[in-house]
Amino acid sequence: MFFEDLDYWATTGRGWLHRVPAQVKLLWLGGVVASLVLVYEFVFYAALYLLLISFLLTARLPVRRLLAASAYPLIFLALVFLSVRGLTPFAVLYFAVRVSAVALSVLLIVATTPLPRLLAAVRFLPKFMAAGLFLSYRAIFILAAVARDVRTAYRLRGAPGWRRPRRFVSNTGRAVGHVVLAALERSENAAAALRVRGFDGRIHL
Amino acid sequence: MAHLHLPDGVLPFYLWAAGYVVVAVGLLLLWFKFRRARNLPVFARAGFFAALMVVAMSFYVAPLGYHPNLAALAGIVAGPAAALLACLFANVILALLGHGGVTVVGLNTLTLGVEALVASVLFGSAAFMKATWLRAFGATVLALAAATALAFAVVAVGTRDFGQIVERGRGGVIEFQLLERNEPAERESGSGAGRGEVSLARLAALFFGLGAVGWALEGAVTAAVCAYLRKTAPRLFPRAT
Repeated sequence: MFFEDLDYWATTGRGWLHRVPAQVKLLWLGGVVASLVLVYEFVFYAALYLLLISFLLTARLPVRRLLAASAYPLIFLALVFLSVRGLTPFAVLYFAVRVSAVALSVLLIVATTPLPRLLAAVRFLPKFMAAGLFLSYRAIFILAAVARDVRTAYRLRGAPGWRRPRRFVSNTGRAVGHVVLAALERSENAAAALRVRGFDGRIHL
Repeated sequence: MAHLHLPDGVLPFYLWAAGYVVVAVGLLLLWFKFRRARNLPVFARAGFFAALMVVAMSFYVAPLGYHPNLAALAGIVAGPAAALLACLFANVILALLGHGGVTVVGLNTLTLGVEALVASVLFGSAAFMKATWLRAFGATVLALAAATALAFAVVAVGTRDFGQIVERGRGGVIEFQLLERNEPAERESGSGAGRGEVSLARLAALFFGLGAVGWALEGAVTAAVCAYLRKTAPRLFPRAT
Protein backbone atom coordinates (compact mmCIF):
# COMPACT_ATOMS: atom_id res chain seq x y z
CA MET A 1 0.00 0.00 0.00
CA PHE A 2 1.32 3.41 -1.01
CA PHE A 3 0.65 4.97 2.41
CA GLU A 4 2.78 2.32 4.10
CA ASP A 5 5.56 2.90 1.58
CA LEU A 6 5.46 6.64 2.19
CA ASP A 7 5.68 6.08 5.94
CA TYR A 8 8.58 3.67 5.44
CA TRP A 9 10.48 6.17 3.28
CA ALA A 10 9.79 8.93 5.80
CA THR A 11 10.97 6.98 8.84
CA THR A 12 13.95 5.13 7.35
CA GLY A 13 15.21 7.61 4.75
CA ARG A 14 18.55 9.34 5.24
CA GLY A 15 18.47 11.95 2.47
CA TRP A 16 19.12 15.67 3.00
CA LEU A 17 15.42 16.46 2.79
CA HIS A 18 14.76 14.11 5.73
CA ARG A 19 16.95 16.31 7.90
CA VAL A 20 15.06 19.53 7.14
CA PRO A 21 12.81 20.45 10.12
CA ALA A 22 9.08 19.80 9.69
CA GLN A 23 8.27 23.47 10.37
CA VAL A 24 10.43 24.56 7.42
CA LYS A 25 8.70 22.05 5.16
CA LEU A 26 5.29 23.28 6.28
CA LEU A 27 6.35 26.86 5.57
CA TRP A 28 7.41 25.74 2.10
CA LEU A 29 4.01 24.11 1.59
CA GLY A 30 2.31 27.29 2.77
CA GLY A 31 4.32 29.21 0.18
CA VAL A 32 3.29 26.80 -2.58
CA VAL A 33 -0.38 27.08 -1.59
CA ALA A 34 -0.13 30.89 -1.46
CA SER A 35 1.40 30.86 -4.93
CA LEU A 36 -1.73 29.15 -6.25
CA VAL A 37 -3.65 32.29 -5.36
CA LEU A 38 -1.02 34.90 -6.18
CA VAL A 39 0.92 33.54 -9.16
CA TYR A 40 -0.50 32.39 -12.47
CA GLU A 41 2.50 32.45 -14.82
CA PHE A 42 3.33 29.14 -16.45
CA VAL A 43 7.05 29.85 -16.17
CA PHE A 44 6.78 29.97 -12.38
CA TYR A 45 5.12 26.54 -12.14
CA ALA A 46 7.47 25.01 -14.69
CA ALA A 47 10.45 26.30 -12.66
CA LEU A 48 8.86 25.05 -9.42
CA TYR A 49 8.26 21.62 -10.92
CA LEU A 50 11.86 21.39 -12.15
CA LEU A 51 13.11 22.46 -8.73
CA LEU A 52 10.97 19.78 -7.06
CA ILE A 53 12.27 17.15 -9.46
CA SER A 54 15.82 18.16 -8.58
CA PHE A 55 14.87 17.74 -4.87
CA LEU A 56 13.41 14.34 -5.68
CA LEU A 57 16.51 13.21 -7.57
CA THR A 58 18.85 14.23 -4.76
CA ALA A 59 16.77 13.18 -1.73
CA ARG A 60 17.31 9.41 -2.06
CA LEU A 61 13.66 8.71 -2.75
CA PRO A 62 12.01 6.38 -5.30
CA VAL A 63 11.69 8.77 -8.23
CA ARG A 64 9.29 6.87 -10.47
CA ARG A 65 6.75 6.04 -7.79
CA LEU A 66 6.57 9.56 -6.44
CA LEU A 67 6.34 11.07 -9.92
CA ALA A 68 3.55 8.64 -10.79
CA ALA A 69 1.72 9.51 -7.57
CA SER A 70 2.07 13.22 -8.27
CA ALA A 71 0.43 12.64 -11.66
CA TYR A 72 -2.64 10.95 -10.12
CA PRO A 73 -4.69 14.20 -9.91
CA LEU A 74 -4.38 14.41 -13.70
CA ILE A 75 -7.11 11.75 -13.98
CA PHE A 76 -9.60 14.22 -12.53
CA LEU A 77 -8.13 16.99 -14.62
CA ALA A 78 -8.65 14.88 -17.76
CA LEU A 79 -12.40 14.85 -17.03
CA VAL A 80 -12.45 18.64 -16.96
CA PHE A 81 -10.26 18.85 -20.09
CA LEU A 82 -12.64 16.59 -22.00
CA SER A 83 -15.39 19.11 -21.45
CA VAL A 84 -13.44 22.23 -22.44
CA ARG A 85 -14.21 23.78 -25.81
CA GLY A 86 -11.21 24.52 -28.03
CA LEU A 87 -8.61 23.18 -25.65
CA THR A 88 -5.05 24.14 -26.53
CA PRO A 89 -1.92 22.10 -25.74
CA PHE A 90 -0.74 25.07 -23.68
CA ALA A 91 -3.80 24.89 -21.42
CA VAL A 92 -3.25 21.15 -20.91
CA LEU A 93 0.43 21.66 -20.14
CA TYR A 94 -0.25 24.64 -17.88
CA PHE A 95 -2.75 22.87 -15.64
CA ALA A 96 -0.82 19.59 -15.69
CA VAL A 97 2.33 21.34 -14.44
CA ARG A 98 0.44 23.49 -11.92
CA VAL A 99 -1.45 20.53 -10.43
CA SER A 100 1.54 18.14 -10.47
CA ALA A 101 3.85 20.72 -8.86
CA VAL A 102 1.56 21.11 -5.85
CA ALA A 103 1.00 17.35 -5.56
CA LEU A 104 4.75 16.69 -5.74
CA SER A 105 5.42 19.35 -3.08
CA VAL A 106 3.06 17.57 -0.69
CA LEU A 107 4.40 14.11 -1.52
CA LEU A 108 8.01 15.20 -0.98
CA ILE A 109 7.11 16.49 2.46
CA VAL A 110 5.18 13.38 3.48
CA ALA A 111 7.83 11.03 2.04
CA THR A 112 10.54 12.72 4.12
CA THR A 113 8.68 13.51 7.38
CA PRO A 114 6.90 10.94 9.58
CA LEU A 115 3.26 11.95 10.00
CA PRO A 116 3.40 12.23 13.84
CA ARG A 117 6.19 14.79 13.46
CA LEU A 118 4.14 16.71 10.88
CA LEU A 119 1.08 16.69 13.16
CA ALA A 120 3.21 17.89 16.07
CA ALA A 121 4.47 20.77 13.91
CA VAL A 122 0.97 21.91 12.90
CA ARG A 123 0.18 23.88 16.04
CA PHE A 124 -2.98 25.57 14.76
CA LEU A 125 -4.87 22.26 14.48
CA PRO A 126 -7.54 21.74 17.16
CA LYS A 127 -6.24 19.14 19.61
CA PHE A 128 -9.06 16.66 18.97
CA MET A 129 -8.39 16.97 15.23
CA ALA A 130 -4.69 16.15 15.70
CA ALA A 131 -5.64 13.26 18.00
CA GLY A 132 -8.14 11.94 15.46
CA LEU A 133 -5.64 12.16 12.61
CA PHE A 134 -3.06 10.33 14.70
CA LEU A 135 -5.62 7.65 15.56
CA SER A 136 -6.48 7.27 11.85
CA TYR A 137 -2.79 7.13 10.96
CA ARG A 138 -2.22 4.24 13.39
CA ALA A 139 -5.43 2.53 12.28
CA ILE A 140 -4.42 2.54 8.60
CA PHE A 141 -1.56 0.10 9.27
CA ILE A 142 -3.79 -2.16 11.38
CA LEU A 143 -6.61 -2.27 8.85
CA ALA A 144 -4.28 -2.57 5.86
CA ALA A 145 -2.81 -5.71 7.47
CA VAL A 146 -6.33 -7.10 8.07
CA ALA A 147 -7.35 -6.26 4.48
CA ARG A 148 -4.24 -7.99 3.12
CA ASP A 149 -4.93 -11.13 5.17
CA VAL A 150 -8.55 -11.20 4.03
CA ARG A 151 -7.49 -10.77 0.40
CA THR A 152 -4.98 -13.60 0.69
CA ALA A 153 -7.58 -15.90 2.27
CA TYR A 154 -10.08 -14.87 -0.40
CA ARG A 155 -7.65 -15.76 -3.20
CA LEU A 156 -6.48 -19.01 -1.60
CA ARG A 157 -10.07 -20.18 -1.45
CA GLY A 158 -10.48 -19.67 -5.19
CA ALA A 159 -12.24 -16.33 -5.28
CA PRO A 160 -14.69 -16.04 -8.19
CA GLY A 161 -13.96 -13.26 -10.69
CA TRP A 162 -16.27 -10.92 -12.56
CA ARG A 163 -17.51 -13.83 -14.69
CA ARG A 164 -19.82 -14.78 -11.82
CA PRO A 165 -20.88 -11.28 -10.75
CA ARG A 166 -23.43 -12.25 -8.11
CA ARG A 167 -21.01 -14.47 -6.20
CA PHE A 168 -18.24 -11.98 -6.74
CA VAL A 169 -20.25 -9.14 -5.17
CA SER A 170 -21.46 -11.37 -2.33
CA ASN A 171 -17.93 -12.57 -1.53
CA THR A 172 -16.53 -9.06 -1.81
CA GLY A 173 -19.22 -7.95 0.64
CA ARG A 174 -18.13 -10.63 3.10
CA ALA A 175 -14.48 -9.73 2.71
CA VAL A 176 -15.09 -5.99 3.19
CA GLY A 177 -17.56 -6.77 5.98
CA HIS A 178 -14.87 -8.68 7.82
CA VAL A 179 -12.57 -5.64 7.64
CA VAL A 180 -15.45 -3.39 8.81
CA LEU A 181 -16.02 -5.65 11.82
CA ALA A 182 -12.28 -5.56 12.58
CA ALA A 183 -12.42 -1.73 12.40
CA LEU A 184 -15.39 -1.60 14.78
CA GLU A 185 -13.85 -4.01 17.26
CA ARG A 186 -10.51 -2.25 17.29
CA SER A 187 -12.12 1.18 17.58
CA GLU A 188 -13.95 -0.02 20.71
CA ASN A 189 -10.66 -1.33 22.12
CA ALA A 190 -8.94 1.97 21.27
CA ALA A 191 -11.72 3.96 22.97
CA ALA A 192 -11.44 1.78 26.10
CA ALA A 193 -7.65 2.16 26.14
CA LEU A 194 -7.91 5.95 25.72
CA ARG A 195 -10.43 6.18 28.56
CA VAL A 196 -8.26 4.08 30.89
CA ARG A 197 -5.29 6.33 30.14
CA GLY A 198 -7.30 9.44 30.99
CA PHE A 199 -7.53 10.78 27.46
CA ASP A 200 -8.42 14.49 27.59
CA GLY A 201 -8.74 15.07 23.85
CA ARG A 202 -5.01 15.53 23.31
CA ILE A 203 -2.41 13.00 22.18
CA HIS A 204 1.08 14.18 23.09
CA LEU A 205 3.10 13.81 19.90
CA MET B 1 -16.78 5.25 -6.46
CA ALA B 2 -18.54 8.34 -7.73
CA HIS B 3 -16.52 10.62 -5.52
CA LEU B 4 -14.08 12.81 -7.42
CA HIS B 5 -10.99 14.05 -5.72
CA LEU B 6 -10.66 17.65 -6.74
CA PRO B 7 -6.96 18.54 -7.13
CA ASP B 8 -5.13 21.73 -6.19
CA GLY B 9 -4.66 24.53 -8.67
CA VAL B 10 -7.89 24.18 -10.66
CA LEU B 11 -10.52 25.83 -8.50
CA PRO B 12 -10.48 29.53 -7.57
CA PHE B 13 -9.54 30.74 -4.09
CA TYR B 14 -13.02 31.92 -3.07
CA LEU B 15 -14.45 28.46 -3.66
CA TRP B 16 -11.93 26.37 -1.75
CA ALA B 17 -11.80 28.97 1.03
CA ALA B 18 -15.59 28.69 1.32
CA GLY B 19 -15.19 24.91 1.59
CA TYR B 20 -12.81 25.37 4.51
CA VAL B 21 -15.16 27.82 6.22
CA VAL B 22 -18.11 25.42 6.01
CA VAL B 23 -15.98 22.54 7.30
CA ALA B 24 -14.58 24.73 10.11
CA VAL B 25 -18.13 25.51 11.27
CA GLY B 26 -18.97 21.80 11.15
CA LEU B 27 -15.77 21.02 13.04
CA LEU B 28 -16.72 23.51 15.74
CA LEU B 29 -20.07 21.80 16.20
CA LEU B 30 -18.41 18.39 16.29
CA TRP B 31 -15.84 19.66 18.81
CA PHE B 32 -18.64 20.35 21.28
CA LYS B 33 -19.86 16.81 20.73
CA PHE B 34 -16.51 15.06 20.99
CA ARG B 35 -14.86 16.98 23.81
CA ARG B 36 -16.75 14.94 26.38
CA ALA B 37 -15.23 11.63 27.39
CA ARG B 38 -18.51 9.76 26.93
CA ASN B 39 -18.23 10.33 23.18
CA LEU B 40 -14.89 8.55 22.99
CA PRO B 41 -16.30 5.43 21.24
CA VAL B 42 -17.78 7.61 18.48
CA PHE B 43 -14.50 9.52 18.19
CA ALA B 44 -12.46 6.31 17.96
CA ARG B 45 -14.94 4.93 15.45
CA ALA B 46 -14.44 8.03 13.32
CA GLY B 47 -10.68 7.48 13.39
CA PHE B 48 -10.97 3.85 12.37
CA PHE B 49 -13.55 4.50 9.67
CA ALA B 50 -11.31 7.19 8.22
CA ALA B 51 -8.55 4.58 8.07
CA LEU B 52 -10.98 2.11 6.50
CA MET B 53 -11.86 4.63 3.82
CA VAL B 54 -8.19 5.31 3.07
CA VAL B 55 -7.48 1.57 2.84
CA ALA B 56 -10.54 1.01 0.62
CA MET B 57 -9.45 3.80 -1.71
CA SER B 58 -6.17 2.01 -2.35
CA PHE B 59 -8.01 -0.82 -4.14
CA TYR B 60 -8.60 0.20 -7.72
CA VAL B 61 -11.10 -1.77 -9.76
CA ALA B 62 -11.10 -0.19 -13.18
CA PRO B 63 -8.78 1.84 -15.39
CA LEU B 64 -10.47 5.21 -14.86
CA GLY B 65 -9.38 5.48 -11.24
CA TYR B 66 -12.53 3.88 -9.82
CA HIS B 67 -12.18 2.82 -6.23
CA PRO B 68 -14.63 2.25 -3.42
CA ASN B 69 -14.63 5.01 -0.80
CA LEU B 70 -17.07 3.48 1.71
CA ALA B 71 -18.30 6.91 2.87
CA ALA B 72 -21.90 5.77 2.46
CA LEU B 73 -21.13 2.61 4.42
CA ALA B 74 -19.52 4.74 7.14
CA GLY B 75 -22.69 6.83 7.30
CA ILE B 76 -24.86 3.74 7.59
CA VAL B 77 -22.74 1.79 10.10
CA ALA B 78 -20.89 4.45 12.13
CA GLY B 79 -23.63 7.09 12.21
CA PRO B 80 -23.63 10.62 10.79
CA ALA B 81 -21.38 12.36 13.37
CA ALA B 82 -18.62 9.75 13.29
CA ALA B 83 -18.91 9.47 9.50
CA LEU B 84 -18.57 13.23 8.97
CA LEU B 85 -15.49 13.34 11.14
CA ALA B 86 -14.14 10.25 9.39
CA CYS B 87 -14.60 12.00 6.03
CA LEU B 88 -12.53 14.95 7.25
CA PHE B 89 -9.72 12.75 8.63
CA ALA B 90 -9.72 10.63 5.47
CA ASN B 91 -9.51 13.67 3.20
CA VAL B 92 -6.63 15.21 5.15
CA ILE B 93 -4.70 11.93 4.91
CA LEU B 94 -5.59 11.54 1.23
CA ALA B 95 -4.38 15.07 0.52
CA LEU B 96 -1.04 14.08 2.02
CA LEU B 97 -0.90 11.15 -0.42
CA GLY B 98 -1.41 13.43 -3.42
CA HIS B 99 -4.90 11.93 -3.80
CA GLY B 100 -6.97 15.11 -3.80
CA GLY B 101 -5.57 18.52 -2.98
CA VAL B 102 -4.46 20.27 0.18
CA THR B 103 -6.37 23.43 -0.66
CA VAL B 104 -9.56 21.52 -1.44
CA VAL B 105 -9.71 19.33 1.68
CA GLY B 106 -12.76 21.37 2.73
CA LEU B 107 -14.61 20.85 -0.55
CA ASN B 108 -13.65 17.18 -0.77
CA THR B 109 -14.84 16.72 2.82
CA LEU B 110 -18.14 18.34 1.94
CA THR B 111 -18.56 16.03 -1.05
CA LEU B 112 -17.78 12.89 0.94
CA GLY B 113 -19.68 14.21 3.96
CA VAL B 114 -22.85 14.72 1.91
CA GLU B 115 -22.49 11.14 0.71
CA ALA B 116 -22.19 9.79 4.25
CA LEU B 117 -24.95 12.00 5.63
CA VAL B 118 -27.47 11.27 2.86
CA ALA B 119 -26.78 7.53 3.09
CA SER B 120 -27.20 7.61 6.87
CA VAL B 121 -30.50 9.52 6.72
CA LEU B 122 -31.97 7.47 3.87
CA PHE B 123 -30.96 4.16 5.40
CA GLY B 124 -32.42 5.21 8.74
CA SER B 125 -35.66 6.49 7.25
CA ALA B 126 -36.24 3.33 5.20
CA ALA B 127 -36.44 1.13 8.30
CA PHE B 128 -39.80 -0.20 7.08
CA MET B 129 -37.98 -2.15 4.36
CA LYS B 130 -37.12 -5.66 5.49
CA ALA B 131 -34.34 -6.35 3.03
CA THR B 132 -31.25 -4.69 4.54
CA TRP B 133 -29.30 -5.06 1.32
CA LEU B 134 -31.99 -3.21 -0.65
CA ARG B 135 -32.08 -0.37 1.89
CA ALA B 136 -28.30 -0.12 1.75
CA PHE B 137 -28.21 -0.26 -2.05
CA GLY B 138 -30.86 2.44 -2.48
CA ALA B 139 -29.35 4.68 0.19
CA THR B 140 -25.85 4.34 -1.28
CA VAL B 141 -26.86 4.97 -4.89
CA LEU B 142 -28.89 8.05 -3.96
CA ALA B 143 -26.15 9.31 -1.65
CA LEU B 144 -23.56 8.92 -4.39
CA ALA B 145 -25.84 10.70 -6.85
CA ALA B 146 -26.18 13.60 -4.38
CA ALA B 147 -22.41 13.73 -3.84
CA THR B 148 -21.76 13.67 -7.58
CA ALA B 149 -24.28 16.49 -8.07
CA LEU B 150 -22.44 18.54 -5.44
CA ALA B 151 -19.05 17.79 -7.01
CA PHE B 152 -20.46 18.76 -10.40
CA ALA B 153 -21.84 22.02 -9.02
CA VAL B 154 -18.47 22.85 -7.43
CA VAL B 155 -16.57 22.13 -10.64
CA ALA B 156 -19.14 23.98 -12.78
CA VAL B 157 -18.81 27.10 -10.61
CA GLY B 158 -15.06 26.72 -10.19
CA THR B 159 -14.19 26.32 -13.85
CA ARG B 160 -16.12 29.39 -15.04
CA ASP B 161 -12.83 31.29 -15.08
CA PHE B 162 -10.88 28.41 -16.64
CA GLY B 163 -10.09 30.30 -19.83
CA GLN B 164 -9.03 33.42 -17.90
CA ILE B 165 -6.65 31.44 -15.70
CA VAL B 166 -4.97 30.02 -18.80
CA GLU B 167 -4.77 33.52 -20.29
CA ARG B 168 -3.08 34.81 -17.13
CA GLY B 169 -0.70 31.87 -17.14
CA ARG B 170 0.36 32.53 -20.69
CA GLY B 171 2.60 35.47 -19.78
CA GLY B 172 5.74 35.26 -21.93
CA VAL B 173 4.98 31.87 -23.41
CA ILE B 174 4.49 31.16 -27.11
CA GLU B 175 1.13 29.54 -27.59
CA PHE B 176 0.49 26.51 -29.81
CA GLN B 177 -3.14 26.64 -30.85
CA LEU B 178 -4.78 23.28 -31.30
CA LEU B 179 -7.38 24.73 -33.64
CA GLU B 180 -5.22 27.36 -35.32
CA ARG B 181 -6.01 26.26 -38.86
CA ASN B 182 -9.76 26.59 -38.30
CA GLU B 183 -9.60 30.00 -36.69
CA PRO B 184 -10.64 32.20 -39.66
CA ALA B 185 -13.63 29.99 -40.38
CA GLU B 186 -14.53 29.92 -36.70
CA ARG B 187 -14.29 33.69 -36.47
CA GLU B 188 -16.60 34.10 -39.45
CA SER B 189 -19.15 31.63 -38.22
CA GLY B 190 -18.86 32.71 -34.61
CA SER B 191 -18.20 29.11 -33.54
CA GLY B 192 -14.97 30.17 -31.88
CA ALA B 193 -16.97 31.91 -29.17
CA GLY B 194 -16.56 30.38 -25.75
CA ARG B 195 -13.18 28.81 -26.47
CA GLY B 196 -11.37 27.75 -23.36
CA GLU B 197 -14.67 27.54 -21.50
CA VAL B 198 -16.04 24.41 -19.93
CA SER B 199 -19.07 22.93 -21.66
CA LEU B 200 -21.41 22.15 -18.77
CA ALA B 201 -23.46 19.72 -20.83
CA ARG B 202 -20.34 17.73 -21.69
CA LEU B 203 -19.09 17.94 -18.11
CA ALA B 204 -22.43 16.73 -16.78
CA ALA B 205 -22.45 13.84 -19.26
CA LEU B 206 -18.97 12.82 -18.08
CA PHE B 207 -19.67 13.25 -14.38
CA PHE B 208 -23.02 11.50 -14.30
CA GLY B 209 -22.22 9.00 -17.06
CA LEU B 210 -19.01 7.74 -15.47
CA GLY B 211 -20.44 8.29 -12.02
CA ALA B 212 -23.47 6.08 -12.61
CA VAL B 213 -21.19 3.08 -13.16
CA GLY B 214 -19.49 3.86 -9.86
CA TRP B 215 -22.82 4.28 -8.04
CA ALA B 216 -23.95 0.83 -9.15
CA LEU B 217 -20.62 -0.79 -8.17
CA GLU B 218 -20.36 0.88 -4.78
CA GLY B 219 -24.06 0.35 -4.15
CA ALA B 220 -23.66 -3.37 -4.80
CA VAL B 221 -20.59 -3.64 -2.54
CA THR B 222 -22.24 -1.63 0.27
CA ALA B 223 -25.41 -3.72 -0.02
CA ALA B 224 -23.39 -6.95 0.20
CA VAL B 225 -21.44 -5.63 3.21
CA CYS B 226 -24.63 -4.58 5.01
CA ALA B 227 -26.25 -7.96 4.29
CA TYR B 228 -23.20 -9.65 5.81
CA LEU B 229 -23.14 -7.31 8.84
CA ARG B 230 -26.87 -7.82 9.36
CA LYS B 231 -26.16 -11.53 9.89
CA THR B 232 -22.92 -11.29 11.85
CA ALA B 233 -23.46 -8.10 13.88
CA PRO B 234 -27.20 -7.35 14.04
CA ARG B 235 -26.60 -4.83 16.86
CA LEU B 236 -25.40 -2.44 14.15
CA PHE B 237 -28.89 -2.31 12.67
CA PRO B 238 -31.15 -1.99 15.69
CA ARG B 239 -34.15 -0.84 13.69
CA ALA B 240 -33.98 -3.69 11.19
CA THR B 241 -36.52 -6.42 11.85
